[in-house]
Amino acid sequence: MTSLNELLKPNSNEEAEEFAVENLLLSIQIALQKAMTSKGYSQKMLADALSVSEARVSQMLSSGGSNLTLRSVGKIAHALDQVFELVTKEEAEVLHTKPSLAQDVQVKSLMKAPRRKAWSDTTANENRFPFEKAA
Amino acid sequence: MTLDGFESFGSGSFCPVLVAPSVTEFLVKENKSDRRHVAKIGQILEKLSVYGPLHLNNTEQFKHEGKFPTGNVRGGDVSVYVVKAFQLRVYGGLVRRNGKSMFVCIEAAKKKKNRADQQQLKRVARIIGELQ
Repeated sequence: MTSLNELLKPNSNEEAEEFAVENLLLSIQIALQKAMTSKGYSQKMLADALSVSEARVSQMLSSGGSNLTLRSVGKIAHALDQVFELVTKEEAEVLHTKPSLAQDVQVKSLMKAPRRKAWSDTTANENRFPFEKAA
Repeated sequence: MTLDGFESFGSGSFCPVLVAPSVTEFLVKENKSDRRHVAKIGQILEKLSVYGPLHLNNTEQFKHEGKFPTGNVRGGDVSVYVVKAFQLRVYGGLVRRNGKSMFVCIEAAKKKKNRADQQQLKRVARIIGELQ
């Protein structure tokens, strides 16, 4: 019998792309729902805040996710008084589970950056206009 | 952590997700006519393994259906959850073994009415009780 893991492997590049889109959409929906829960917002309250119908909010958060554009995500974030950042999964995992590791990565990458050359222009502070008086 | 006959699914660190053979069989059958929503079920199960049921709860795609009796001598009720994508439904719950939790998908169905089949939810709870 086919396993679920095999069944859900994308069959083509187009399908892989579609799965990637759906996956990001689901992540956004979960993030919005979590924000709603933490702020104590029901779908009705959010619908009132956005001046849309409750059915439309439900539609945005359901599996189809129709009407959920980046602009509408921004509006929901504003209505919930929340700020969202878009980061890669790897970055999110490091920031979430090992913030000190995230710091190390940044510090190491800064240390790898080319060092500035030592000051070599010894004439820069010389007075080039010794006979002129300051106004 | 595994259960005999169940397939392990999801790569998240919160908990493993285990799928009963009957659920896989149902999804394989539905896949022929509705691959998009079968794939969606897979994506929700993946997120479930990452975030756990609490963070996904009460979303349009994952809901706590209520607590139902296990029928065990020890008694007690267990929570039954549903994963939803369009008309597809996968029912399951958390099973705790050796101090570790796993989400187990017990049964699947195609939605026919707005209200979930209560007999099915009770049956799922009894199976969760047997697996505990």
